[in-house]
Amino acid sequence: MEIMRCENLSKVYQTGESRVIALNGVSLSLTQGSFTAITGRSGSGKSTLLHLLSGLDHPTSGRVFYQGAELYRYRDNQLSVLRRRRFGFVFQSYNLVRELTGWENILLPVMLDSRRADEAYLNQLVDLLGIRDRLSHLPGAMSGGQQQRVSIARALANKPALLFADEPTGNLDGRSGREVLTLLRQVNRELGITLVLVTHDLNVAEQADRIIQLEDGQVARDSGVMQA
Amino acid sequence: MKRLTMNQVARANLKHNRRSYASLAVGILLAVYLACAAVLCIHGTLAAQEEQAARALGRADTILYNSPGVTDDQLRSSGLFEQLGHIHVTATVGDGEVALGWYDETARQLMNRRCPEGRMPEQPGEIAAERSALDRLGLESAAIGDTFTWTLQPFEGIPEQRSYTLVGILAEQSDRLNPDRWFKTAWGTVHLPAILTSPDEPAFPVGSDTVHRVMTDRPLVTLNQIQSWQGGLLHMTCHISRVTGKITPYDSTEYELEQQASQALLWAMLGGALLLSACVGIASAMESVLARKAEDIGMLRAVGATRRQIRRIFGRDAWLLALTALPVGVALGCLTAWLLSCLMPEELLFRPSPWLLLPVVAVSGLCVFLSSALPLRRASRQLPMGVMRDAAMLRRARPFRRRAAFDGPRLISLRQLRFHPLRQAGSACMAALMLTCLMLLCALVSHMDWSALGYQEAFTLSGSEPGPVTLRADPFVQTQQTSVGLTPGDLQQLKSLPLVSRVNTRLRTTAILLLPGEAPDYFRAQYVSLRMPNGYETGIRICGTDSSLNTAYLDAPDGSAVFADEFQALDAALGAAKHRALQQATGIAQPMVPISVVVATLDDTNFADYLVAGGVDTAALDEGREILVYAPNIVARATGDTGGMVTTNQYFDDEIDPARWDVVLMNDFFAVGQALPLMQLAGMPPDTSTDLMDEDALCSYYGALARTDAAPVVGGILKGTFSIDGTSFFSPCLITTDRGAEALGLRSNGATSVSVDLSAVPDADTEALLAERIERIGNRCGMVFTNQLEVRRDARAYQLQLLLLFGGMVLLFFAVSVSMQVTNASRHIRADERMIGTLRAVGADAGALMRCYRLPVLLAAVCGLVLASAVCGAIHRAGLLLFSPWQLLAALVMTALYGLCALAGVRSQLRRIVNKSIIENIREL
Repeated sequence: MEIMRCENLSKVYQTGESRVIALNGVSLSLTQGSFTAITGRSGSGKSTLLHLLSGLDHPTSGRVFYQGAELYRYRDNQLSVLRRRRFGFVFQSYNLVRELTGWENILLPVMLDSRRADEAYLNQLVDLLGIRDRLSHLPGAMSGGQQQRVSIARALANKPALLFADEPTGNLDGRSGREVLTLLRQVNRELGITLVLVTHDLNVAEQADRIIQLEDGQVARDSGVMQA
Repeated sequence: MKRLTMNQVARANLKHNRRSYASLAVGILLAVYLACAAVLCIHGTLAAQEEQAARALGRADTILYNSPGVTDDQLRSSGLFEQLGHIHVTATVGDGEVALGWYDETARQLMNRRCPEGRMPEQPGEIAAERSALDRLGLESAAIGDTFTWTLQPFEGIPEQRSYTLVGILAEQSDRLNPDRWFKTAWGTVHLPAILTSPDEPAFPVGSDTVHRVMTDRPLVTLNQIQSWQGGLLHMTCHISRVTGKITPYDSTEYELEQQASQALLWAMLGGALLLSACVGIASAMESVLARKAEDIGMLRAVGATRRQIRRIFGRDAWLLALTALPVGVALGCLTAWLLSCLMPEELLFRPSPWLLLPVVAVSGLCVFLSSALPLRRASRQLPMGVMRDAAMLRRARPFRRRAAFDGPRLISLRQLRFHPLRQAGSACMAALMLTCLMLLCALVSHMDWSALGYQEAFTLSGSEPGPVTLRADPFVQTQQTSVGLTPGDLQQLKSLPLVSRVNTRLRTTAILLLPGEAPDYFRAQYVSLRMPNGYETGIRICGTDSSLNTAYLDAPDGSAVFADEFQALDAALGAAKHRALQQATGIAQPMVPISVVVATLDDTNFADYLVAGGVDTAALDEGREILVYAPNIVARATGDTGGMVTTNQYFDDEIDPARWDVVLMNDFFAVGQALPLMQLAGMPPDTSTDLMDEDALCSYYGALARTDAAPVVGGILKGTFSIDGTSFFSPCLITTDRGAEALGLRSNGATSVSVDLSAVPDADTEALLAERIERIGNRCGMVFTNQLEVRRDARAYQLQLLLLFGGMVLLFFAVSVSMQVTNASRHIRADERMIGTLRAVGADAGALMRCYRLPVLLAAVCGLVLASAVCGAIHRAGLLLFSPWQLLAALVMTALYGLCALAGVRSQLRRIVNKSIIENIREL
């Protein structure tokens, strides 16, 4: 079943006289519960595509549909609500709020939604990610891998339908990277969360059900949907 | 290889970051300009005061009255003086009120003796006179060129008739130099010449000149040094103030400095407030420059720069800018001071001098140093490694307790406050300053008199009140003065002036009250002990008569009294000796106390409100059958442990809590219908040969005085803040009408105060005419004239100036504090852009983002309010200015307004960030 679709998605960066076409007429569809890897060389537009799919940036042209509704027709506040309830985002550089502890960072989307935290679920998540002993620390006192796990926990805190991950292993050593990837795969399988992951590492991409390769802002190769 | 200096680094910094340094440069230029303008205005105000004083009394420092025992050589060799001039008094004219004489060249220059009309006398037979002296001689219509023939009385000489031609009208001065007020009892009357002759005027064959000397003191010489020179040889000296143009027999330097300070205070306050806002501007601009340099600072720290080096490198920029701004700021400051001096030529003189550059440089340097110190200190504390900083932060962070209460934005803002406590301190201080000014403004407004200026008591004339009780001015004796005083003719003349509806006169005389066998407690002196700041303990005497009339002797004979110190015990012993001599001279064995009698115009004053018992029967008062009594219950208490003061209050009921007061004196004597046996002894003070401790000598002195006895009945007892002709009463006294005083046979020295009521507001010409006429009558009677209309107008203008000043300060501080808060928040928002992006990415909407920055604004507002309330509370408790709840309400409203404006500013800053896409927010900077 389709959860997200984009049509003719383009993004052009214009600074002064220079014009950079980051994304050029990309159309694709994502199935619920799938694990999609977007790969490509640096500057191929893979991160831009992820940002546009997750509602973090505005396209120059084209449309994105989430469960049949057009994403960029939402007002800013509606988009905020969608982001905190239905989407999760894992950044390459973790982007934790450095004034808040690990636990507080995880609770942030739940709090913003003015809901009581499902503590049993969050505890399960914390155990799954293996960060229980780091919960009372500020991000500055954590290693990169630990910060990335907290960032994944934060992305999953609201039980999102879609999890976007932008180079989640990019800043990590090989072992930590593998662990994070295993976790993401586990989340995708066990919790049924649709996972869209951007990476330039083919070893990482091979773990996905579907690989979309971008070149110069266009889809160069799409392995198609393969049921696990 | 060429060496790299810090100046080169700073210059390069300035050159390549011109735009970012622009606001810092403006702030520093503003500070230099304001410092220069404030210094020049304060200096100009003081110079204007000195100029006015010099116009009135010249530039002499000390005047030595008639001391033939001291020679000029002695004075010159004393090392106390620089210049020395002589004033010769050769004779008196008329009834002895007007003196004639001449000034030598030095004295004339030092005392600024000049003729606004005509010229100074140059040859024998010519005179120049003060207009008031001519008035006193009955020559009101005298004009230059007139010739007069007078009988002159030389000192210790034979009267002689001489003729003079008037060649000039002198500026008024002799009355202000008249030493009678200070030295009359010891030396009789000594006058300064109000009519000047030429120095070549032939001397009188018999008699001698009285010579007064005027001198300028050597630097740092005080009047105390002069008076103690050679064992008090120069005791007949007075100090001439160069600031106020007044003469005092004591060193008034300290008082003058206070006067000067109060005059310069307005400029200082205005300049200080503006400088403070300039400092805030500098600090804010410096902070923003350093925020942009954060990476450079981190890099420099990483390559081994110490904190001190960081402060020096980035502080050098500010100093270079200050150096560049100095000439421009000084030029602008001079221009402002010059413009102000053109607008207010009387109050402010433009007197630039290279020496003034010193305070300008010092003040502006201090501003730059202080305002850049904090941002530099904070910048230099930046650690090279973010991880280390985060570890330090972690130690200070406290996790939230209840998970249900977790509010991310609130927690973020709380943590930011904990990690950077100084971020909001400046804003809170500025808000506090603004609110303090507002509350002061409200207090001033509520204390101001907004009623119409009025035309009652439009002009007053005041003569000298009975002076302080000295050994020679006996409290039992109504000493008679030789001065003319206000005559019935003068009164008639005052009443006939245009618009005059009523002339009120008041005078005070002293009588003796004969007490029954035992003196009541009301008249027995009690003391409130007071510890002075220097540790000396003394006592303030409280008793049931005018405190200047000594009654302590009532306790002295039996030795039961406890005096506050040995001087008061001595005073009481002397009082007891006088009392015994008085009893002996009058043959009255009863105890006696001196008491003041106020003689006033009582005809149509409504006394019903002031009566505590009895009534006011004007006919009985006029006939001398009755008299009114003002006899409050007096309570006193020393406030403060050291250097405190004694508070006295008056009550007219019995509801006094004795526990609250150190002294409670209840009126246990005066009652309605009671006969008051009175006696008055009037005459001249005892001559210098009388030994005051010799009871026989005192007895014969008292015996020779004119005695009057009377026994009026107490008609009514008055209460409240009782006042007659604007003079409030505090001490118990007797009150009667002028006819009543005459019927009782009480003598006095004529009116001590006259007030003139008008029937309507006079126009400018009528006011000038009335002022001139009344002043001339005052001059003739030796009374000081005051145009109360002018005084009230000046007071109202001063009030308005204060209002404008504080109102302007409130507005200025409001604008500065709001803009400071917004700039502060904007800086943080820019620095937190990445965090804002992250929060948006996890679903925070605009409201949640605003919550991150709302708390610091509200906290600054609340802290400001608390601080301002604390400051005003302290002022209130110290009794300097009283605040009421509505002023707090005004502060609350202002705080709310401040909060709303600041929040609106913060919201607009946040919108600029939120208008970008999340990815632009998050992108690595």
